[in-house]
Amino acid sequence: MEDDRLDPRFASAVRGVLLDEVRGTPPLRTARPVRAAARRPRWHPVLALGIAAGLIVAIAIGFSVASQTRSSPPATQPLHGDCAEILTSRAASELIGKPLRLVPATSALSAPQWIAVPVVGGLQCTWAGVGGVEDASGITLTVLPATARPKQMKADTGCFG
Amino acid sequence: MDDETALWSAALARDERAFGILFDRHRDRVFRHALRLVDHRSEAEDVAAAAFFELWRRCEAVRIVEGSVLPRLLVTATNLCRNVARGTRRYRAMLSGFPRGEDGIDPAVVAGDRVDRAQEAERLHRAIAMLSADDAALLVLTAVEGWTAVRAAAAIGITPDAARTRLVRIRRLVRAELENEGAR
Repeated sequence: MEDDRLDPRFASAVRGVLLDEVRGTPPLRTARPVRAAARRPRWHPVLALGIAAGLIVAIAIGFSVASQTRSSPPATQPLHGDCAEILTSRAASELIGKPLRLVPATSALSAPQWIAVPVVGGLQCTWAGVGGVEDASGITLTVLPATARPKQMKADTGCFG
Repeated sequence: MDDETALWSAALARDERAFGILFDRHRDRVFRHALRLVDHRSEAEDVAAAAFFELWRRCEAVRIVEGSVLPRLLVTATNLCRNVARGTRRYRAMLSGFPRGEDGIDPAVVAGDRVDRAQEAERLHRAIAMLSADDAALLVLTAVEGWTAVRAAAAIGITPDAARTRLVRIRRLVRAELENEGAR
């Protein structure tokens, strides 16, 4: 390939994510209504779970995926975008042993695994301690479709954090 | 080229159109810059994308140099090229899902006339990998981009005198390193 320009399709994908970020579109909405999908393929996503206390657990589950319209490449959102279908705040609190609550998603650029969510589909949920910024306890779950995992990650358990 | 101060201000106010203009204006330039500093096209794509993501992620720290965000993008891209795997790690999961061209083809392999260029890029890549981030950017902007020391200094955020002093030391260091390699 002699072309020294950025591949147009690649550039378009980068542009889509960038402009979403500039626009301030959250990488996911934990309770966004999901449009009816023409097809509802079943995927087997990887659920990556990181706990601030250092405990790392990986769980693989299956879920239905609904298509959505974005300016970037088509994204999908599992579990109707509802983090509570994975873990309730009560269950999260019991897991950590401290009161936790579901908090709004931050920028998709905040963490490597979150960045993939707007692009390949998935769900990112964070439960944080109720004690404010001084309370570092928390759980972050990122659900990504296993089919979209990078090759170099195929061999691992899909854990982050 | 138009002064980009107003466009950047608009982008900071979350005007996606303004940021889109800046992306469209500089994306190929940043990609070509990266292409000269890494071994593979796919790495250059990753670096170009990551440079723009970093531009936005650290937007509050961006200084407009000579009325453009391009110097900042090139400095960032140079730093990312010092260690592509480490520099683009934050974005790897996302980038791996993006559509690509024939990124598996290394230009140096399919085009004999590019072998020299690939070897040159490899030497340059090794050189910038052993330098600090600022020194690597200073070397690349002056030696590869042909910028003056004064312009490169402004892009990096150091004084022109400091840039000249550093360049003397950097060139001596790189020359010695390359000579050592030749002697091995």
